[in-house]
Amino acid sequence: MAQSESPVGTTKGPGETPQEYVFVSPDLGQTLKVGEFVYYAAPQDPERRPIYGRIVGRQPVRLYPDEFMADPSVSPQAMADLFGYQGDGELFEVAVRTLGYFDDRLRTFVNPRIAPRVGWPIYLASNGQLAQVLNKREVGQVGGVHVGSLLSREPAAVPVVLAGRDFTSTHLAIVASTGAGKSYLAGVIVEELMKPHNRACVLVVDPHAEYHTLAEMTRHPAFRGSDGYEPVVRVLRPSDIHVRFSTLRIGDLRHLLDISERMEHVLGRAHQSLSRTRAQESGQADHWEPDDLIREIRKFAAQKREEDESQDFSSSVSALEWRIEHLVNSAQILDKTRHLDLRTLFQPGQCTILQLDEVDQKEQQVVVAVLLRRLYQARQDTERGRVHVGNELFLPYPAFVLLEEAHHFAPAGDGGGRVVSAETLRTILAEGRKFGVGVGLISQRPGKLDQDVLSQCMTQIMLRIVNPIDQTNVAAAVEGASRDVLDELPALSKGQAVIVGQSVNAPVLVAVRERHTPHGGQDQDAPQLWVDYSNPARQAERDRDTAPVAVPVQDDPRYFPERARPAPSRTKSFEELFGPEEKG
Amino acid sequence: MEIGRVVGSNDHADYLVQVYGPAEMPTPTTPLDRSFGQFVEVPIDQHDRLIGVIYTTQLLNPEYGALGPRLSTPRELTVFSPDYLAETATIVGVAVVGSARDDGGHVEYDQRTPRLASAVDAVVSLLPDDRLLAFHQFDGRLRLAYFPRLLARPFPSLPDLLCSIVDRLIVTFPGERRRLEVARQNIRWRAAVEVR
Repeated sequence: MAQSESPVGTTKGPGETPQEYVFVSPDLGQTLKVGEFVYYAAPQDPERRPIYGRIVGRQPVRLYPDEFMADPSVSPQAMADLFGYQGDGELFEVAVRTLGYFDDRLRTFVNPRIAPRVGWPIYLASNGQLAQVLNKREVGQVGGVHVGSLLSREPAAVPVVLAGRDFTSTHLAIVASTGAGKSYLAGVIVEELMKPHNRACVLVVDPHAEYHTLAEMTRHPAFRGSDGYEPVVRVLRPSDIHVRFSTLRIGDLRHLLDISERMEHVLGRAHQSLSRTRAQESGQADHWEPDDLIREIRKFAAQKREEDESQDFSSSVSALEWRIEHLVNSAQILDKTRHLDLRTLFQPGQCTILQLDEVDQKEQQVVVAVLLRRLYQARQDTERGRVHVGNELFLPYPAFVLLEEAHHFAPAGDGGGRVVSAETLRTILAEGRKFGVGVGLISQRPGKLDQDVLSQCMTQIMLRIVNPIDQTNVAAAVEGASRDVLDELPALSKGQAVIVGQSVNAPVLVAVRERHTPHGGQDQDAPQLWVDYSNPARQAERDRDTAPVAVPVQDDPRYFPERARPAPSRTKSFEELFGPEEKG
Repeated sequence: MEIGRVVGSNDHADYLVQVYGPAEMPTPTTPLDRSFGQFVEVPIDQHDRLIGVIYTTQLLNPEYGALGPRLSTPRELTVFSPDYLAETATIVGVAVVGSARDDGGHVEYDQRTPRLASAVDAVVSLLPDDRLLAFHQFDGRLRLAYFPRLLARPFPSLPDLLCSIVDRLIVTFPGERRRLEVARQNIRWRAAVEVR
């Protein structure tokens, strides 16, 4: 057993729960912080394996009397010294949740299911021990996602490395209040995934256009592999993103068109008929244009009218026609014919950023639903051998999709039923791992995020959350987060996070590492910008920009009327050109 | 200056000292010498001394209330029973607060309960000011390690005793005024407020 220095405390007995124990310590070095890791060794264990635990509480059991603090200029220690007590008098009872001994074969903690005996010494785990047992991967190892270092230790002393293999298959959730550093952390994760040792296939859905700075990864030495590898970053603006109209399902159309039940019936039948016809004709059910759908709607209505005079769908047909045409004309991303190829979006070693900042929210939801659905379909079909090289749905590698503002795409409560992307997300979160489709959800309002969706994310990263409703929702949805971990959330500072779940061996408090690329989602410094606005140089710049178009002074008749421009030339007469006409 | 002799004890650190009467010493003791809060020392052997503080005074007078018949007149009794004269006495209670050990010039003071006890008839002297100063110093700092032990004793006049010690030490240790004032404040608070 690698035992560090001298013990920091002595076991007092079992704690409040069977998994907890308490020990007493003077903690002169102020090292026994909540979240810190300690261990003991059971004497009966021949290998004397360290049995690790995480400090979950600390309370004083012996303090200086209040009356020793009557004069702020006299310390209680000085008063105790006066009465013959030398040294520090405080004692603390520290509660520890047992993690267990680390099984090298299983690469996980095994809980001994029994509390240590009274009097057993407790040691502070060393940096080396923690780096070995908390992480499933090492820095720079394949699948290693180095997000920062353990908060309770000196900066960078104990690196915290997530297992990329776990969160890219069993999904990830990053939740925090605004300004806590979610997108910064997400940027760190993307950077790690794009490093030469990972070369991931990542798509970032970016509704606020704050991930474009990741493009700097391309030329950054930190991302260059010894074999010449450099990540490809594709930033797609709304004008570059095309979703073919025909890939929309009836649910998507219903969501976008805002139609009545009668219209939905007509649209549904027409859509179904059109898809079936095209599948029979070309083998591809989603190869048609909006005009084809309108024709099919008219055809359906006419057919019904023929069958039964009383069935008049003309008003529904007109309304649908108008709505479809309006949608086609106003939508930014929906396109009659063009479609983004999956292989363009998803490539190993490529990070694609979909900037949806100028796109209507409904359209964003449909875009996400369609893309995720196609990705999932492609992975399913490829894994099951239903499609082969050359087919547009052939995607022979896993993909990871990072979804900002996830609560817009899978809102909680009734909203989830009305948002098309929610159902697709639920399916992927439940089944995606089998086919290599991983999703990372980022949300600043976990309370507004569908709880089923959140609870399916097996790795959770929580930054500062102050709102009690959000805290409660996180507590309900996050299995691995015990009360003591959640208690940390309001106390975290910017850039500090709690990570629980499958990607780490134990819940950890992390100080997020610095990004290699600049952060694109920083808040604006409004007071500074206001002050800058009044800067004389800026004022002159503005005056110049807003000045009327200059007219040369010498040509301005207001100043030099005598230099007035000659009258516009007129057609010269025959006489002026050739002299008087000869007569005779 | 000697003030009396040990005549008994209540426990290991609480002695009864009979103060010399008017005729027992060339220079008789004054009431100030045996006053409340006065520090005294009691030699045990040639090296060790106990250091204590007077915390109470009892006056012994067997005649008080003895109104029964007598065989002799008081005048005759002075002739035939001279012991009788000594039957009134002043007893002071001395709480031991520490000890001193003299190893050939170097004196080491200790504010813990001493291991050694005094013997009956041991001489009790006033503690000179220089030794009082030395007794209260530890590594150059004022030390009152015996205060908690005194506080644990059931003396009704204890707060006043401690305050009188503090008052005296404030004069002797002006640099320690703030700490001593906090201590005095706490003693007074306990005596005045917490007992109610």
